[in-house]
Amino acid sequence: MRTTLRRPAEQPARLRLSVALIGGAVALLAAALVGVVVGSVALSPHDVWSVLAAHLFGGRRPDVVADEIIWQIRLPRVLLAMIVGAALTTAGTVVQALVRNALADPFLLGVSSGASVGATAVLLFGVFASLGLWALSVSSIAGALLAMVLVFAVARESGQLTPTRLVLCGVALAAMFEAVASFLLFRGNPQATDAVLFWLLGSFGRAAWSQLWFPATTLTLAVVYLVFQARQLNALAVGAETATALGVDVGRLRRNLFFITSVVAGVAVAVSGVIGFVGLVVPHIVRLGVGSDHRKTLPVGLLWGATFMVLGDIVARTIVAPQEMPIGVITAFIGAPVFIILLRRGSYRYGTAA
Amino acid sequence: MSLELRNLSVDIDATRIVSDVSFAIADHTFAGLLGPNGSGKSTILKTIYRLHRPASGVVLLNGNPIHDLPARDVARRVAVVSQENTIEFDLTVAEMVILGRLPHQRRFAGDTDTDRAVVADALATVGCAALANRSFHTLSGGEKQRVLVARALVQQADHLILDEPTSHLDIRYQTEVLELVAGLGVTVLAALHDLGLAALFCDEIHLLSAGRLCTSGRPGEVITVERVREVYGADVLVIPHPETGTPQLLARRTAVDRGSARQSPVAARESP
Repeated sequence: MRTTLRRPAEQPARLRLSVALIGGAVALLAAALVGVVVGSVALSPHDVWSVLAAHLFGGRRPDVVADEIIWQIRLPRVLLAMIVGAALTTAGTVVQALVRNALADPFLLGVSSGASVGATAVLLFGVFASLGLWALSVSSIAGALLAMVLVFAVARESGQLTPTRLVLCGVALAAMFEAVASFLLFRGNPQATDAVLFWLLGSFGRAAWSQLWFPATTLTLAVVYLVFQARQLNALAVGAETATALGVDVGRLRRNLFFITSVVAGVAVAVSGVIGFVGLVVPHIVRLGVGSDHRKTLPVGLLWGATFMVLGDIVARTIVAPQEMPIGVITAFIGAPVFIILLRRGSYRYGTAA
Repeated sequence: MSLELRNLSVDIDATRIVSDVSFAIADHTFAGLLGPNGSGKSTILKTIYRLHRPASGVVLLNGNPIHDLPARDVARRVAVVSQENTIEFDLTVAEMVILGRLPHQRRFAGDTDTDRAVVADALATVGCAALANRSFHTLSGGEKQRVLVARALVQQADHLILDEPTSHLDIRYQTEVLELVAGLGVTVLAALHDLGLAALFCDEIHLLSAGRLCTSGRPGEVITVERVREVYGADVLVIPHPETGTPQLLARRTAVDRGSARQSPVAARESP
């Protein structure tokens, strides 16, 4: 419970929106540059620049090896990390508002477990093998969508989605899908099991230019919709009764938000595995910075989430080089302490009993 | 008579909660909706602000069925202060109040100067101007309730629905909030718990019993010893307020001997 004595400083310390956005953009560019420069093969910023300049502005062909490493491997990897970080942060922000629960994350609604089943089936048994490189993405998206449809069908209550049922059905079905994935693992051969475990913990190692457009397009469409719904989202976060009284069609808004977050999170999982903690923690870090108005949290979250993920990926591929640490290990390991420090320092509170 | 309930019945989960209730509220009237717990007060209010749909009958706003009107249009005419005031995320008072501008704002536009001016005015009206940048969580119960009234004010609606706006407040804030609302000059329909307080502020009272309208009238006509016993099942004394003459309730103990004049059945059994 809140203490009865009132502390003098109750104005939340917040960043100006412009500072949060510009700072986020600068940090993202810096992180991206580091991400492109750092790696197992030492390349100077000058090499990086000559490769980028050659591709962007034309001109002298750069060194072939540098070109291959930077343009074909590191740059798509950095871009994919950006997209996935932004996507998971956006999905997390929206899910938390949708179910009015600060502990919700984008995987709460079962999409990650559904995707795991799809991915496991591909890695272990070669389902969809005819699709080649796309098999993993297609099957995990299929799994995520299947989970989404199931959760939606089960959670509906006379046509309406209510937060409590959504959370409970999501958790229950996620457990079921995880059981299926575990069963598949149990039946599979040990070599393939390693691949599955690695995928489950997340990685940007498969990044390629051809993989970027799909998550980028999905995220862009989702963000455009969400930014235009930001006020409605604020009203819904305050409560369904309030939102209804303010003229918001709560039933339709909830359905749309549910589908959008599921698809965004599902696509992120499909291209990079199950990367935990980002969708839970980064939205809170953003709210600590700029407050809970979704007109601020959504754009700021894109930049900060992208930066966080790029930094996480840099750590993941350098800390035990030449091996790679699964990115999910890093995000949790960095995210949890950062979150706890901010929580203890700031006047942040969620829920009434804080 | 811009707000009218005509033969309104409402079901929740196939159970009839409100049966065949009809009344109309004259413009600029402060109307009270009274009745014991579970008598359907909240359900009627929630049906008016479209959280529930009628099973039969209709709510009319200026003669039009309110459930057929666009939600945005209704939100510009009917504002609500509900009991729901716990929020999961940290909003400032100003952010909370400006939500009330939602039905007036175009989807693709930002907050206008008008929006901000209206918010500042409303906060000044409820005496919370100094709280604008405070976190909503840190407010006292009375401050929260006044901020929510401010949010309803910026909707610039001519009807105000209050769902037990004072039930968790100290006596000072109870009268403050109701005085504030009564001074706005809009049409008010308030579900109230405290009969004496309702009598003090309401022009007319609609009394519910088990989902049906029991009676409507001026406070002095509706709140009587007999009716309180009948509807609430409570044995009370009703005396006129020394300043206004409106009925005030005095609770009575059932287990003590009150002398020979008025004895409850229990007291009669226990007296020698």
